[in-house]
Amino acid sequence: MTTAEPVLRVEGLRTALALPGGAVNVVDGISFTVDTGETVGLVGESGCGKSMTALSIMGLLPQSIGRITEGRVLLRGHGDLAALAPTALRRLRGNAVSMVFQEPMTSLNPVYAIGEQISEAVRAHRDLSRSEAWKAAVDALRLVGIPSPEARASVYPHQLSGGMRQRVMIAMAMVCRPTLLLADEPTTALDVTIQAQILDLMNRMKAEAGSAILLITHDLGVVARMAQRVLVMYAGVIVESASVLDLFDKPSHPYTQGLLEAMPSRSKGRGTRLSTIGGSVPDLRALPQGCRFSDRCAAVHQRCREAEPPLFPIAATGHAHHARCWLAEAGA
Amino acid sequence: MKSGTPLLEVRGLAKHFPVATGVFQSAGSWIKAVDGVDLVVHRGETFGLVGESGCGKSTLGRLIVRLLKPTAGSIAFEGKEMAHLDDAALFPFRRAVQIVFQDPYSALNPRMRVGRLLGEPLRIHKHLSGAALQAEVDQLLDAVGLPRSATAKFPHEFSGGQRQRIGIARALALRPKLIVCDEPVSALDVSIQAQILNLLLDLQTEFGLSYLFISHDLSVVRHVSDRIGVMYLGRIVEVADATSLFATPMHPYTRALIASAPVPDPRANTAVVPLEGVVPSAASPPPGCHFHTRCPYAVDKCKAEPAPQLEALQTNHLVRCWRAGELAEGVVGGR
Repeated sequence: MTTAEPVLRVEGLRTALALPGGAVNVVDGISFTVDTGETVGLVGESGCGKSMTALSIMGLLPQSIGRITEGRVLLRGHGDLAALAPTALRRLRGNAVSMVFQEPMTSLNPVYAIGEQISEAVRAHRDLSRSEAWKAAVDALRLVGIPSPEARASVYPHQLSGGMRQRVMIAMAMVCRPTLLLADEPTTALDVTIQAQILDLMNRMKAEAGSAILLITHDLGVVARMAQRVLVMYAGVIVESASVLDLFDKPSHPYTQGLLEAMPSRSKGRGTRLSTIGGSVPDLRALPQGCRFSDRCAAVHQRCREAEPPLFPIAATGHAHHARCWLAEAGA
Repeated sequence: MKSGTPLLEVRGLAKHFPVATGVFQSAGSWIKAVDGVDLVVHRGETFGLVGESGCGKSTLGRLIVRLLKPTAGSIAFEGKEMAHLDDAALFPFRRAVQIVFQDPYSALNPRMRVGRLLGEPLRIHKHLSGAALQAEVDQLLDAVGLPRSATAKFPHEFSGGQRQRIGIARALALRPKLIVCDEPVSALDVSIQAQILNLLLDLQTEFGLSYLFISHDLSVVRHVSDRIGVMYLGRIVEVADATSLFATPMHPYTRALIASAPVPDPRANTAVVPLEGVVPSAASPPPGCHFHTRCPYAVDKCKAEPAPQLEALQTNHLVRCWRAGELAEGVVGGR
């Protein structure tokens, strides 16, 4: 445990999207920290708000409809990102904090060579000449394991495979050695052998640049391999936070338990029935009264329908494990 | 039931797509998407087919339901040859073999209500109409766990999981014997994926179905399959029953696949050595064993000689590798 200030401290973040039919809090009051050198996994199913959390941190919410309505996003040494002017934020993006997206093809500009795109990112933040920036780009490509980087810097995104494009994205994200990397489903579009390469690369780059990673994924396997701590999101809130070992050993929120039990496992025999979570994710405009998970929860009781539980510490596993469930209060 | 004849027997199946080049779009070269595949699916069995993008697993699925015409090889369904029949002659076969796709939304006509989507095969193949048709549609909706009110709705009114239930109901409409499931749960969240996998297993028991289950997800394939085939660049490189494939994988590619896929256990993921390189292009596959460019155990023979055949190293465990015997004994090191 470090006593130093965390790289990222998110406090009571609330993000609203103005959708047809009214504003919706897609992120509804979440708080967490990411420490130096740490990988924190943010997991949840489609629509739980995990990507919106990342976009809120980066100041990349869809402009006309999305905005942070409450809370602070404190990046070490740079203050509250949520309160920064767009120009100040732009100076930080790609520099102190950068992001890797799921689909590199839509994040890379198809009409510029990859070397130019990386140099542009370098020149936006460092006072370098064109040729120096190009050299930095080639070095970045070499670092992410792209063969013959001098030649490859001149190719266009469509000439690369999906795995190579994701390497380019990582090279671009890491070229200015950010203190924080947000990775939103970075390997979801990739095959497993390529995914293994990219995950391995992210760990090496993290160690090399001394960055911290907020890894957003729906894949509990990826989280188990990469993260030291895990946040589980459901319907806009964090329902459980724990060290990776605690989360898999003693999942304490019924939703986390449900997710883990629903996964097919290689050790379970063929055809064993999987546990399922009944129903589907609630409409954020019509959340159930009380706990957001109450209408799908197998352990639901009267109190769950009356009031939303706070995050309770799980006593048995130390102070770093919390679950947003009334049962956790009883068990504490 | 005829004993002895497998439900489906595929021999030397191949599909080559032309790569159009030049002004006249002549076929300059060929992509061998499926390149000599042998496989057998028995009655009531689930055969899992696993591999990465571009390995030819979906093309193989489409050949077997005859959405594509094979370049060569045979597809025997209940002993009858189907590989080269024309559409009219295939008509009865269409009832017996159906397919479920990954993305039910693009597989369902957005302008048809569910009642019509499910009723169409029944009208065409069984000449049902009126109340008899509606009764059959209701029964299908019951079987896949959708409310009967779904009849009057359009596909866009359903969630992803519900749409996949519609896709399954449609495949089920003609009471087929074999359903090819092509990545049926890949687009779904974990909790919904579990519902659909349970449904497929229930329907298998209820209707005595056989499945050819295609997926890139090893845990999913392990969960549903009796036997599993691993594909790499158009060829099956290993076939075994599910338990021994995972307990003692013999092909270096299978080993790498199993080691690469992250499992939800933080203690199990420590020492992963990623496989190097990428899958080579199917338009110009490497000579010899297709996998030698990425194989940590490759020797000169793997490159120089024609690809090895799929051979039984143990009973019911076939592998296509020169060095499988040495590897199984654990006597070789990697390069």
